[in-house]
Amino acid sequence: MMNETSVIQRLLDYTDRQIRWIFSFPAVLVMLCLFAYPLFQLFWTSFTNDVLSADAKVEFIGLANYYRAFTEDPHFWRSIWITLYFAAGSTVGQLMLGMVLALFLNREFKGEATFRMLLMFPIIATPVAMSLVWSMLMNPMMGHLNYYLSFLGFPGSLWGASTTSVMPSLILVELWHWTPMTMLVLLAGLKGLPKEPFEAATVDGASKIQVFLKITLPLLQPYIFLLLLMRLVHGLKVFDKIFVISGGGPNRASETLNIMIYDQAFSAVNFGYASALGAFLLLIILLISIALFRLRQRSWSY
Amino acid sequence: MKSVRFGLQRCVLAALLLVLTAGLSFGESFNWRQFEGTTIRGVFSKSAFTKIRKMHIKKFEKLTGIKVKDEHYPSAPLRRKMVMELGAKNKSLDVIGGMMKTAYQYDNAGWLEPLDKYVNSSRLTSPEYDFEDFGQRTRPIIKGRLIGIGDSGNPQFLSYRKDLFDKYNIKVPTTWKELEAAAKILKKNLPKGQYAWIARMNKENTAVFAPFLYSNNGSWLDENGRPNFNSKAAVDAMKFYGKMAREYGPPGASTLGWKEVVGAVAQGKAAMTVEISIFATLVWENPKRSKVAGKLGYALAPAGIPGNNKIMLPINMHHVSKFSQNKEAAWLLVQFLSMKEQLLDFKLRGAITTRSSSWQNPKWKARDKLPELSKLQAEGVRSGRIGFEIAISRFTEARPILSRMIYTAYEEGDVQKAADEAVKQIERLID
Repeated sequence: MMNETSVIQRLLDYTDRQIRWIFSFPAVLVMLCLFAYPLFQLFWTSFTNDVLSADAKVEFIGLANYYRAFTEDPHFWRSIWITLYFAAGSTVGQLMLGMVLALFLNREFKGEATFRMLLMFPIIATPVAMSLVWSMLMNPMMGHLNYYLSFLGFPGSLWGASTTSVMPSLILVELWHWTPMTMLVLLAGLKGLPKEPFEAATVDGASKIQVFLKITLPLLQPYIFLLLLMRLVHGLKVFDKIFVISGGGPNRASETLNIMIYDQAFSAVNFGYASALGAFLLLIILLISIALFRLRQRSWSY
Repeated sequence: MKSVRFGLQRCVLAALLLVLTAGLSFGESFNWRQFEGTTIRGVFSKSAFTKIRKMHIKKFEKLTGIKVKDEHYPSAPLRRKMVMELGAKNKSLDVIGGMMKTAYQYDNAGWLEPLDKYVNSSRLTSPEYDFEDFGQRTRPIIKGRLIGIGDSGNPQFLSYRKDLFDKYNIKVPTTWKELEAAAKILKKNLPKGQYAWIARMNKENTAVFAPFLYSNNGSWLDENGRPNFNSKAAVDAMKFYGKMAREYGPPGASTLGWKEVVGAVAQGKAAMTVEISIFATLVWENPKRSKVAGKLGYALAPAGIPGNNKIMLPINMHHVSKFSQNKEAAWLLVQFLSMKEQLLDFKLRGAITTRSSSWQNPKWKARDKLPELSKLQAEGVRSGRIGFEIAISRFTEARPILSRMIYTAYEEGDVQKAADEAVKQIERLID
């Protein structure tokens, strides 16, 4: 009886000490299934020549897929450049426009709430449906955009149908879609800023630009950093807009790494090579995230 | 005496009964219910005729007692889905909808069950099936094996605005020279926003470029299966195709796929195109869907070499999956869907079927409102070329390479250089 009690007691004590692991086990299991296993599968497949053939054997080929990307595929480095172009262009654009809109809305005026609500509409649009509408609007032959431009006396554009205008067109759509969210976060930041530094600056005779550069921006730093990280990572991974509007064309002018991965996996059925590209994209996103965090630690502080 | 007569009567009766039952069993020799209780899964291409196909599937279920789980997808998502399912050797997949261009890929990957033994089996194929009724040119045969049953086709022709041709006194073009001459006149006379010519120039441009290639005696592959589309004939075809799009077509050609072409012609924005002729039947000649109904004429796609006009014939077909656990039941479904009665149903609704009997049927002849087009379509089914895209197993990887090469012609780039480079890339894929 004494032995049974002490065994039960020891078990209870042990459970008590390990309670954090017991409660976190379901979440860890989900993480392993949904994250760790697919990641492992991605890296494993990147080292094979898997082409989904019923007859061909899947073999381990080491770094051959990576070698092919870095040295043999003429479009690989171009797609990295296009990816970075899109991510950087859309992120900077969103931050700038979002800031302008947030500063504009950071005041009281009649209809402010309605105006803010209207600005939110792009965020709630489903990406694929919205992209389809944009591709119709941007149609050089029958699209509304060229029609309205001609009304105003401006020449039409080829939009997504030209190798030179396709990326700016895609960035434009991305700005339309996500600037409201950026604006919302910055507006929340602006509304939460302390009033005293601004009052002190006004008393000291600082101009509006000086106030903005020396006080507003530094105080908004955490929000800007958060948006920079989120939007940059999102920009690096974007797929739906590019797939629907340009499909990576014309002539691969908008083929980001993500689109290239999709083409290699589901058109060319080169799962091994596609996995290698996917692993490389993951690495890029990781490196950029780490660089941003390091920058955040070393950046200006107040 | 009595007993002998009685015995004779019995023999005669028995003989009569034997003949009768033999006659009956001869008439009912094919057993449609031999796989009754089985469940099979078919994945089909969604089209304007999907409703009828679903009706046929219901009929099949009643006839055979086989339960069919049918799914219908547009062709591009269907191709991607099939790659995933067949690549994973999915045993739940029995019947697959496809086209010739993907058949090479699927067959090379070992995903398709050859159908010769099924067609030739009296146990598995009804005597009413009449395989010989299918046009010779419509049978999907790869390396001597029948890998599918083609039930409908889509021959490509030149569609042109008869009214504009009459107005500006333009001759129906049969050669490239005549086509360009017609385009010049139209370009000069058409108002802003209307174009003389339109054709696909996006990723799908290889399909519609094919008649230009072959009519100029070019080809994708030589007799040894090596790429030879960097020949002068092929490069000239690309240059002409690109020139027509650039000088006589709408701006932003890279966005032009079949949807944009169909829409532009239906709205009266483009006067000439080479496209699959089912669009004429379903859209352009339908006054509810088109502004040009009754105004279009049809002819063979103009040729690079006079008299060498070619008809390209995309075929829709059904395969049986190599991994199916119910191959014979799956064959019954493929067979049933391509029987004379079912294909006549399609024909009466405007489909371009691969069975000669559908075209000869008096019910169809009485309904035919576009005899000029039907004559061309029948000729297409009889003599068209079904394998007109590059016939290599890695077709889906090759197509974008070829598409970009053709696009170079539209942008007035160095087409020969682009073709030489594309040949190298295709050779790597083949090897």
